Amino acid sequence: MLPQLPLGISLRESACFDTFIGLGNQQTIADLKACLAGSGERYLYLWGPAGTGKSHLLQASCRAVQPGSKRVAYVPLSLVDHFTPGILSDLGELDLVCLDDIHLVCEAPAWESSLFSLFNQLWERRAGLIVSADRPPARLPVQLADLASRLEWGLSCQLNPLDDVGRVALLDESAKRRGLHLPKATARYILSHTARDATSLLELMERLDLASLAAQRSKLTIHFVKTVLEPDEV
Amino acid sequence: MDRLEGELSSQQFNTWIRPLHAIEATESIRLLAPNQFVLNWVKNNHLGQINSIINELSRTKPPSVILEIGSRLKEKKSAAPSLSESLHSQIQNRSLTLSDRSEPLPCNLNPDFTFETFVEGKSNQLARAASVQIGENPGTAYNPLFIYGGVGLGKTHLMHAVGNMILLNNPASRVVYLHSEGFVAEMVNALQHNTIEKFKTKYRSVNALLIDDVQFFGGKERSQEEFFHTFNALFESRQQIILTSDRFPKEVKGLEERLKSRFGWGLTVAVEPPDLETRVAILKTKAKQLFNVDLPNEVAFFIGKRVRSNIRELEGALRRIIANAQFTGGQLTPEFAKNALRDMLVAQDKQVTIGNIQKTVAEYFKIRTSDLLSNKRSRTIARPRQIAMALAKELTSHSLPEIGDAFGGRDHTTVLYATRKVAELREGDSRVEEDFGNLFRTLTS
Repeated sequence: MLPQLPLGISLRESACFDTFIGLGNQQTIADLKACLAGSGERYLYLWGPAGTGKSHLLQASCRAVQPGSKRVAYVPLSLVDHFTPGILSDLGELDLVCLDDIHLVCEAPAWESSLFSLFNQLWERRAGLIVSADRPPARLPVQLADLASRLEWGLSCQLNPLDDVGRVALLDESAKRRGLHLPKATARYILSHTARDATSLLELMERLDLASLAAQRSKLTIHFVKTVLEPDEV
Repeated sequence: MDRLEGELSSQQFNTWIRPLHAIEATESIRLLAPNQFVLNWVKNNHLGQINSIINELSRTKPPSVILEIGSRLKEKKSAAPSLSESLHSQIQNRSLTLSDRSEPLPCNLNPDFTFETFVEGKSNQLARAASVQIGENPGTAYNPLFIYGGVGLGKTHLMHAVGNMILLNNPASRVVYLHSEGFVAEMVNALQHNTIEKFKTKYRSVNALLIDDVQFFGGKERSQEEFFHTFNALFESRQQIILTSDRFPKEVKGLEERLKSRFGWGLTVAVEPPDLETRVAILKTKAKQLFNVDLPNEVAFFIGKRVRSNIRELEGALRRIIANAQFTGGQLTPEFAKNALRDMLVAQDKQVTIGNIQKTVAEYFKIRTSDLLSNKRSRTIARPRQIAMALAKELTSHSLPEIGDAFGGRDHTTVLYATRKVAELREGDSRVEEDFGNLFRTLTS
């Protein structure tokens, strides 16, 4: 059977373990891989601020499961406005469930009780559950005490933001994947002139990619990056 | 009764005194206990107290107190089953085992949850003792067993342990564990697919039915109706029923009266949050059991002192430390543990502020926060104020002058006096001890 994905949510093409810049987060990656291999914890709680790679890792986890071997689901709760809590009700039968951004559904009684049921079903069946949130379990504003204590039960892994070495590696990886050449000097220029969180950097690479296609060039010089960052000044 | 309620903690009162039925005669009061377990406990622990209250209250010659097993409602029915009753149940058992062999039930018991892996402490020894008895004599000792207490305190573990013991003693037993929500979901499913008869037969034919968190039946009338009949069928055929909940049967919200009263028919026992020594023992046992690691005492104490609310949180902390140690190859020391739990501990520190404590205490005692800061000295205000100050000293790192300031500009000596007074009261007055414990848990979990 193919991996089961609810609604039309698709996994990002590039979201796999190989493309994840793990600097500073090696232990979390090891914990995730052990969980997926069945040799580690069955339930993991990943947390960290935006741009630390939570969605990437959750999608990579789904992708890492051999197609046909297990039934998996990735559910981004950031799309909570499009879902009802009922979306969780059939997931208890799966082998691995990855719930992204669970902090977004706390304090909503119907969601909390659906999460609670799902947790119990997966736990009793010894199936895998990986959740992500923007804060540690003890600080989630969960109202249902039964759910709160269960969320605290597992191994919680903090994701650290990248440092500058990691950011350069991220830019480099993104450039390679797009067939672009990013000299070190340009990478340093980017880091000293733009927002440095991973999400902004990847958005910039997207813009550079399109601009380079239009300009029909693959080398990202400092001058070229300037024209994209501040088209009026150049 | 009121006197006793005042002198005992509400948990003690609920467990031991409330189930008693009293029958007054001219020269004696007969107290009927629902079973031997309650009888023994009341006799050993509360009879003296009961006698002295009766002595005080009666102006003439005080009546003597007789304790026996029985019930005012069902007095005609003796505790021992009549011949026809036991035959009836035997026949019913036999027909069940014959007719249901074809369809094996999933047993759902977690084999890791046994009495051996359950760490006993003051907070749970009664519940454990009762559970062991039921494991040895299912269906006859106490039925149902109702275990209640806060989240993550071991109710599910105990329940599974009984189930596992029943199976061990009699591998042919049909023991079914499920969460109350699972029962509801399965029933809804059966209604949809027109298989409700099959559903009924399935649950009415087990030898032991273990239902977790019955408070989730609240407000679900159709499920309660079905569970009511299941309960009766099992009870009448002397099959064991074990239930857990977050509170005492009578206090479960949204449950029909007839269910609440049935839940109290057998033995109701509480599990309370573990004390420090028990938390340490739990950590060491879990470390061995889950990771085959010998957790050094000083590390276990370090975690146990900081993680206080429930056992799941303790387990979460333990997982984090062991995972770090295995990944980095680091030695398990308190310093290492502190580092591994940095975020968890920071998260806790952040939560507890003086304002938070005042708000929580005021809500708990149903007074206004402004009363706590006022000059009012009536006991209904002053006692909560003292408790709030003591909590502020224990749970925050504010200095005493700062705490005094935050309580309407009081002197630091007032704070000091309050903390001493509360410490003293907690020793001598079980109600203060319970209030303090409840507030402490609310604030730290």
